[in-house]
Amino acid sequence: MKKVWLISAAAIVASSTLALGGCSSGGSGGASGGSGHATIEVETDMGSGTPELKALTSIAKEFESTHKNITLKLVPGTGETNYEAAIKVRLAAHNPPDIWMTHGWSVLRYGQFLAPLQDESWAKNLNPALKPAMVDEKGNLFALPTDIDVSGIMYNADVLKEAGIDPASITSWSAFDAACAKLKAEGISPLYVGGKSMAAAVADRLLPGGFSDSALKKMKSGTFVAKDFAKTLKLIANWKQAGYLNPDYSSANQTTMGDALARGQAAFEMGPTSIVNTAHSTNPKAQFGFIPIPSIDDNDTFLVAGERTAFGASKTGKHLAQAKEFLTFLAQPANETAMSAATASAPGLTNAKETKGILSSSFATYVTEKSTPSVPYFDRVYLPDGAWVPLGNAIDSVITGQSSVDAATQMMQQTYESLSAQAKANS
Amino acid sequence: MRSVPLRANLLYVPALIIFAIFIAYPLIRGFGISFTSWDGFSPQKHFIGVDNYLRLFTDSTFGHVVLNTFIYGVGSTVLQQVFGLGLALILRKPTRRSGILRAIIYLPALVSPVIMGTMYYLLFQYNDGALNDLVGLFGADKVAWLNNATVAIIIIVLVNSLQFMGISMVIYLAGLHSIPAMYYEASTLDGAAGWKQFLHITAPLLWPAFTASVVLNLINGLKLFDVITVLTAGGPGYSTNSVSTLISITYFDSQNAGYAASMGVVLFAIIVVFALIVNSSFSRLNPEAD
Repeated sequence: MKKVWLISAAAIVASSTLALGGCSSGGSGGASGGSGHATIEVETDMGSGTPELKALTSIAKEFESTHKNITLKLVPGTGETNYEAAIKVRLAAHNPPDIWMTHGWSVLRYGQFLAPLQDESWAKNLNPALKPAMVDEKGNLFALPTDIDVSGIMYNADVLKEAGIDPASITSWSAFDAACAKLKAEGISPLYVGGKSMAAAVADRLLPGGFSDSALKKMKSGTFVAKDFAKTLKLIANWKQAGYLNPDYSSANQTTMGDALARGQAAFEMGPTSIVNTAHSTNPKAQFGFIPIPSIDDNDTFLVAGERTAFGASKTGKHLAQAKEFLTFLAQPANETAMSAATASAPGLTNAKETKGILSSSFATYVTEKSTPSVPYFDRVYLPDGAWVPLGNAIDSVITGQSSVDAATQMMQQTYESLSAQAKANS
Repeated sequence: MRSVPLRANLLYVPALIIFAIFIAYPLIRGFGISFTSWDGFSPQKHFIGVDNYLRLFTDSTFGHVVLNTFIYGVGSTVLQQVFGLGLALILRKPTRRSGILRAIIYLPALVSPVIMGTMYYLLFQYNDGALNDLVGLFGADKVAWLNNATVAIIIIVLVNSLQFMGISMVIYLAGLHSIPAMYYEASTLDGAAGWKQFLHITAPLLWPAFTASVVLNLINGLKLFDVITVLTAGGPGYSTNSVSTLISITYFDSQNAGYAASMGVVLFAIIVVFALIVNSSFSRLNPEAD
């Protein structure tokens, strides 16, 4: 009997060692083919059939045709949340892809895993608007951006026109409230928010306008400024109280946001510009635009700009040189132009061409002509990594009446302090 | 005592290997992670002792979520027993029609809970939701069903119960078919029928099936994840989260793997203790026990 147990134990240990050894093998998952051949795994959060993935696939094919010794394995995504979880699991298992999309986190989250790219030939063309978010204090650039996310308050131009509202006249929150009251009277949801995942996106766009410069410095250095944070929550709570938010807030998501904007059921939305792409595909005849975001305390307006589609290369990848080769190819003006056109955004490099997109008219007005100042996404600079969901829940709890503004602010402060302490301990 | 041949014992090995890799190892690792402040992906892990466990006991969100977990577990279990036993009693006679009905009732259990949740989301959603279309037929205003935490919790329990009542039905059908017909024949001769037969023959002899069904449903209900994620994503706020969904949010989104692991350990302990209590209580209450 003892012998049997010994055999069993040995088998378990042996197979466990093999299995776990497989889990923790260092370096990239890119399997090599024949001699000199490299397979580069490129993991993205781009859904199958999206214009972005189609553009990337086409560029990848062109690259493979001129680089016979490199095969690119494009991995499509199944939604942003799943993508992030998948990347985190692979990083934890010391098995990152050769190249992956950093979607706003090339410095703060993924910087320690990515190869610095500031010395690459294309790096000098980085769009200056991206520098605050993508270049760290030591001058490291960890990803190639193929577009730049410029964001304000998105609107359905047809709905506003019918209601007699000139979007350009909305330069303060009082003007916004007046427009909302008018829209509500006409039976339209003035501001449509998808409570299932987009509450934090609203806060991310409003928060910069509620903080003084000194408060922002404090937030960056690890002190939570509750008074300024609460201003944004009060603004949102007032909208809720006035009935300006959509009644299906809790069950609405990013898809329903696009749908509501397309059908003219909603006038204003705050979130990624991909929502407008969804709306446009639902109703190609509808006109959309965006306006800058008013500050809470003064009459300034601003836009939020930052990293969106960007690709970094694993610093431990077995085929780092080939991965960088592909990034250089992707950075070529024609490819960069194609990628940014696929998301209807401005390109991430200055030597690429800007294409006419759904929002190009607003872009020309507020970015090119008026040079509206842009600020980085609040959570990426002033909140510790991991605060996105708690931020969404703080907003959510105010909108659904589960917490007062003060209680939600306190909840966020606790999260901020706990995540900051965790980040400090792990650094 | 006759010893078991070596080859027969070796048949355990594959199961032991699978158990070691997929159950024992993650459990031990998870327990270890619960004493760290790990973010879930960085190479560094810092030991912080029992801080995560202490935080659990002062975290009002976790307390609320544990309560939700019990509602999902107990609520789903009760409903599944009522539906499952009721359907088993109605469909116990093996006719062609009952065979088709059994298959239809069991089919949802074969569908992924994500798909089931998505189907019900389309039913309950505000715009274009089938239920609101019905409400509209009566001239009433649309209702945001999933905006209210209490209603959302009831919907989640209901959706989960409807999906898996087929499993309970099958367990009860197996139990019903194992009861010898002679008991019913003898009791009929003695003048017993209907409710009396159910109370004195069916119910006591169904006890093992009842125990199996309750424990199975309870464990699945306490682990509920997919339906919640699809229907409400844990919202509004944290109000419809179960411990499982909160673990996922805390681990992957809030990047607090250490704290999430401590929740996992507590959930494991809750399920073990609860299952043991239910099992031992049922064993004691078993009318068939000596």
